[in-house]
Amino acid sequence: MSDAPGAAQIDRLRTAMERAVQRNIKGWDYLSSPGKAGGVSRRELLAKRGTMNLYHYDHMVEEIYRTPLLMVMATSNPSYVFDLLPGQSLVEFLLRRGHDIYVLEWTKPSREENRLRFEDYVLDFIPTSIEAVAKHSGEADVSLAGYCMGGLLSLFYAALHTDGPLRNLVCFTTPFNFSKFGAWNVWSDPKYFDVDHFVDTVGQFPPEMFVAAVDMLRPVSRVTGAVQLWDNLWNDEFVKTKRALDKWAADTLPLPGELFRQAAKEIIIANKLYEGQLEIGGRPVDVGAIEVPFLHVVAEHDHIVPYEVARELVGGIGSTDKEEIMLKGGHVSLIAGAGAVKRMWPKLDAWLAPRSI
Amino acid sequence: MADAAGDPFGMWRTLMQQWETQANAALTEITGKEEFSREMNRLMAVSLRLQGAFNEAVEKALTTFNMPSKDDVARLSDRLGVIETKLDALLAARGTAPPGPPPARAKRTRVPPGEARGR
Repeated sequence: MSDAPGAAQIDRLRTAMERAVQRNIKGWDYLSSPGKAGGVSRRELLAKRGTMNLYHYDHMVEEIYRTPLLMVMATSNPSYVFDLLPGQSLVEFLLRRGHDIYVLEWTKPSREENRLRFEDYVLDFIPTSIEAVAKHSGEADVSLAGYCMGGLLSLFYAALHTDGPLRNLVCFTTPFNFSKFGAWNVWSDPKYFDVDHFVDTVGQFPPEMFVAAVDMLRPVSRVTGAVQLWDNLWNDEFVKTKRALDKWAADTLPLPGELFRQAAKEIIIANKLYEGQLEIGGRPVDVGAIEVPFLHVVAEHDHIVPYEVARELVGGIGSTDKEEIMLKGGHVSLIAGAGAVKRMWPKLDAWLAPRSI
Repeated sequence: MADAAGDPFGMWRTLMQQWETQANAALTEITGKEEFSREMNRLMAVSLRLQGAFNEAVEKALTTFNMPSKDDVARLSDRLGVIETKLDALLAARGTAPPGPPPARAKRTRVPPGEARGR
């Protein structure tokens, strides 16, 4: 360290100049190369049926916990956000900590699959996957962890299969009281939004529309995100993560039309889940009937599922062993990126490990 | 957050963050209003009507020229997808294994660090 007065300022100026040069060099690399596709850990496809894909990830340690973990992705995005980059993969982290990981992900639904409803996911795809996991692992029970809409599907499954093989239930940023959904409530107001006409015309809920709606929740953040990227072009780790997450967001999937119709009408507009009036396949969905250990992980700065929407879920669950953990971060940075590595992942492992033996 | 005192870009970053927060708050106040929802949905309804009319016109034109429409190609793609899935299922039922030895099965006896074994 220099003793000369003002040397610190000179050092900082030098750093700023070096970063400016690096920005120019790496900026060309950025513009001239494609983004990384994501998905880095070795996995095997166990089952595939239309939009449903069930994967098992290869173990990374010789001794694992007894209970396998099935992670359920949201229907709106690919699952590689769980396995983003080497060193920034939740799947890799859990594998190294000795968990046996299965992932249920969804691909772009075909036109025939536009008829899919919650019944198909909750009473068919998830139970089928759990059976496949049990057969593959040789274990009778399984833990479920769902992200966002995947959390909602896992929640519905747990409420409707209280005598099933579920050992633990983990939800990440899962909405519950949709009357607090802010702008979403206003945009989907039946006075102005005709869900039936919309679905009957478009068939599938277009991904561009979902991305635009999310952008409208923070209208200038895309601009400031680009400025922030330029500012950090010298930082390879930042750029790598940002590109991977941007690509993941751009890979948003369309939703089956009937699923969107059912979600919009019954869950968002009528708030039937929170009001205890939701029925799936003619059976009431009562989250109070869930008695397995339950963890809800929410993000302090989540603008897609704000805390107000998720807050009352843990209180509604019937389990005695239940917990809500609020962590710094947003909807995506809760599960992926440098912050998640330090914050959420160790907490998830610490909660899950003693309940998986 | 950047150290604004010593970093030549620090003040600029702080200002940018403040502007982002304020601009997002101001704009979401507008987009969260009923008037915005009414106009946005009205525009979408017009767009859907136009889209429907356009799709119908293109469909008619393609039929006239005896050419497959996007729907026809998508239906064909769906059917191919179903055939692929059935082939995968048939191969799986025959017990076709990937080349190389099967991965070794891990022991399911792990306990969390610090917990006694055999409890």
